[in-house]
Amino acid sequence: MSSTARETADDLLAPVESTDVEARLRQSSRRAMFLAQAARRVGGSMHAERAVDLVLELLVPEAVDWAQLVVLEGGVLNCHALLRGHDVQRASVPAPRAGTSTLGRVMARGLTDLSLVSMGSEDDVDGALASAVPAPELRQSLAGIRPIDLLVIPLAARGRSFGALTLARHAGSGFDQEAVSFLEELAGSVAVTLDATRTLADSRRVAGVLSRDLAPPNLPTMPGAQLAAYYRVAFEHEALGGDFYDIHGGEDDWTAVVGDVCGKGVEAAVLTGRVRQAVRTAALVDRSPASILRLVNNVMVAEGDGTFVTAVCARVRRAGDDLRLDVAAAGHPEPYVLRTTGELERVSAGGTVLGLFDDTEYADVSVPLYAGDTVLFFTDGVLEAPGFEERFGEDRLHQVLQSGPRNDVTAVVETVAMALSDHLGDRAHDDIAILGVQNSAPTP
Amino acid sequence: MNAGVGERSSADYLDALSRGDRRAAQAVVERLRREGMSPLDVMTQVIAPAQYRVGELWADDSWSVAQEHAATAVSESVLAVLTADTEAPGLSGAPVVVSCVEQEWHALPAGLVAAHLRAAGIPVSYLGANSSADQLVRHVHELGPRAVALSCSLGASLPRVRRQIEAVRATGTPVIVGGSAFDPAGRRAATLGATAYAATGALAVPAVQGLPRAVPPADPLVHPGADEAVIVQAEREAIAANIRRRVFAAHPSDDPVAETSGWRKALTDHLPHLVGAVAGALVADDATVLDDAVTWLDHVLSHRAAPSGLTDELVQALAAELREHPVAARLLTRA
Repeated sequence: MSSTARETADDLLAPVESTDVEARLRQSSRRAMFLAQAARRVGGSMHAERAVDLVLELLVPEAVDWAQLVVLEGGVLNCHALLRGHDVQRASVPAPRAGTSTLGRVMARGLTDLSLVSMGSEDDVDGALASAVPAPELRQSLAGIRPIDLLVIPLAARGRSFGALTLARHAGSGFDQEAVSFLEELAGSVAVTLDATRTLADSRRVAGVLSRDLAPPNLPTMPGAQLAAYYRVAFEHEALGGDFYDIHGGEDDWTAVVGDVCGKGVEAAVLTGRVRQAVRTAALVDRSPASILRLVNNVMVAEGDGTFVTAVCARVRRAGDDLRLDVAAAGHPEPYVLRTTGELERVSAGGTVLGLFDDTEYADVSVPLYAGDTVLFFTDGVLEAPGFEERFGEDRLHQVLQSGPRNDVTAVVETVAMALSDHLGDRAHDDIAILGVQNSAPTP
Repeated sequence: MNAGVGERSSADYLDALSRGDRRAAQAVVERLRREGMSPLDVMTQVIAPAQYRVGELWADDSWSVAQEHAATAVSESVLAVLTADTEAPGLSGAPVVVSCVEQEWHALPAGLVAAHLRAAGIPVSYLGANSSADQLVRHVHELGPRAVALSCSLGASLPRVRRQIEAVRATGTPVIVGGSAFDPAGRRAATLGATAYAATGALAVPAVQGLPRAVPPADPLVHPGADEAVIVQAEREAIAANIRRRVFAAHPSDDPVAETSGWRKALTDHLPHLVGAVAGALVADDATVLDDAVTWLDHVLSHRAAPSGLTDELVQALAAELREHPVAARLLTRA
C-alpha cells in the first residue's frame, strides 16, 4: 500500500526529464485528473470543516507526507493537519502578525514560500518549523520527517488571503518548480471552494436563526384534546414555505389558524410569520375568529403590498364533554369534522381572502365536537396534489378519511399524509399543511 | 422480565393496533419501559414482530386496508416517541444521519439503526420516514455527518436508493444501506454504489466504525439494464395504468364498487410497486428483486379471490408493455 502511494506521489510530483515526452504527458494527464477530482470532491461537501478534511485527505498520502491547512477566522488561526496514516489533528492559535513568521508573510504577500529545514539542533529545527506550523501539537506530528521540505502556499479568494496550505515531504522527494506550480494551481481552486463553503456556512447560520422563527411551531399540550400536524414544503431544500399553522391560548379557550400565503419559499415564509403574529395579536383583542380575520385583513390591506392570504381560524372551547368550535374562513378550503361514527361533515364557513379588500366582514360558524370527534384543517396543497392522472381531490380525501382510522388524531393525519405521498410520487407539489384537533374527553 | 409478561405485552400491543388505539399501544410500551425494558428491546421484541404480523394479517385479507393503515400509523407514532427516548445528549462529534429512503413510511428499521448506533456511543441525527433526496442533502450540508445510513424495505424503492446514494456521495459522504430490500450478501447494495452494507441494525455499528471519512462520487451504473431502469422508473405509473386497464377489461365486473375492494383494489394499489420492482431489479442488476415482488403480489391476490392465473397474466402484460426493453423483457420471461 505505502509503496503504491509512494509511486503515485512520484507520478504526481517527481521531476521528469524534459526529453522524456511520454512520461511528461503521463504526468500532465495525472495532474489534470487529480485537479478535476479535487474540485469535485471538495466542492460537493458544502460543509466548512468537512471540506478542510477532504482537502487534507486528498493530499495525504497521494501527493505529500504531511499537510496543514490554516484558516484565519476572527483573529484566530484555526489549524488542521494530517500526517500519513493518522487522523486529522486540530488546534487554534492567535493569528500571526503580518511578516513575523513564514505563515504571516505568505498570507500577507500572497506569495508561496519553499524552504528546506535540515540543519542544526532539534530546538533550532523546531523554531524554524514554528514559523510555518505555529501550533506545537501539530508540529509534533512532523517529528518523523527529517530533513524536511516545506512548501507554504497562500489560500486566496476575492482578492485576499484567508489562510494557507503547508505541505511537507521528506527532503530529497522535494518540490521542483513544476510541482510547485501544480500545487499552487490546486491551492487556487481549493481556496475558491473553501471560501464559498465558508460564505455558505455564514448565510446558513443566519438563515437558521431566522427560519426557526418561521418554521411551524411545536404543538402545545391542550387539556382534553389531542393535536397532530403534517407539514411539507414545495421547495424542500429551503425547508420553508407559504403554508402555516399555529395554535395558541390557554386553559379552556384556544385559537387555531391554518393558512396559505400567496407564493412559495422564503418570501412566502416571511409573510406567514407576519400573519401568524397578527392573528396572535388580534386574538388578544377579541377571540371571535370572524373578528380576528377582520382585524388581520385590515392590517394587511393597510400595508397594501398586494399580497394576499387564505386562512381558516377556529376558536376551540371546552363545554362539558364537548368542544365547541367557532370557525371563520377567508377564501380557504373548509375544514372537515370526522365523527366517531365515521360521518364526515364539512364546516361551511366562507369569506373573502385576506389582504385584498378593506372592511371585509367574516362570520363565525359554530360546530360541536363530541368526545372522540376530530376536526381537520388543511390547505389546498392537499386537494391540489398532482397525481399520475388527476389531482388528489375531495373525493379521495373523503375516501381516505372514511376508510381510515378515526380514534386517534395522529393516525388520522398520518394516514392522509401517507395517501398524499403515494399519490404524489416524484411529482413537484405545492406547500401542504394539515392540522388535526381531536376531542379526547372520555367517550360517554 | 419473564417470557409470560413479554407474550402478554405483545398480545396487548397487537390488540391495541387492531383497534388503532395509540394511547393503549403507548401504554403497553410505557409499562414495559417502567419494567426496565430498553427502547431497543421494545422495538425488536414487541413492535417489530407486531408490525410483521400486521403485514401478514393484511396480506391474508384478515385485516382491512383501514385497519392496517391505522395499526401502522399507531406503531409509527409509538416508534417516534421510543426513538426520541434513545437520544443520548452527551454524544458529540459529526453524527450519522439515519433515514428511510424517500416514499417509504415504515420507520422501524431506521429507528432500530438509530437506537443501535446511539447505544454504541455514536451520535445520530434521525430523520425517520419518507425523507426526500433534497431534505437528505440539506441535512448533509448542514451537519457534515460522518455518514448517512439509509433504510430501504421495498424492492420498488431501490431506484430511489440509487438516487439518494448518488446525491449523498456527491458531497463526499459515505452511505450505509440496509433493510429487507437488500440481499443478505449485500450484492445489491454494492451494485447501487453504497459504501457499506449492514445486514442488521446491530451490524450498522461495525459498518459505521469501518467507514472511510470521505468517498468519491458514485461511479455511473454501466451494467446491462441500468439505462432501462431509469426509463421504467420514469414510466412506471403509465405502465401500471395500462396493465390495470387491460386486466380489468379482461375480467369485467357488473358491480360498480368492485374496483374499490377485493383483488381489484389490491391490484390498483400495488401494481405501481410491481412495475417499480422491475426498475429495482434492473438498477440493482438482480432478477430476484422482481421474483420476490411477484411472489408477494401472488399471495395477496390469491387471498382476495382473484381469478386463477391472474399473476401470470400480469407478468405477461408487463412483458408486453416492456417489450422494447430487452433486459427487462428477459427478466419477465424468467419470472
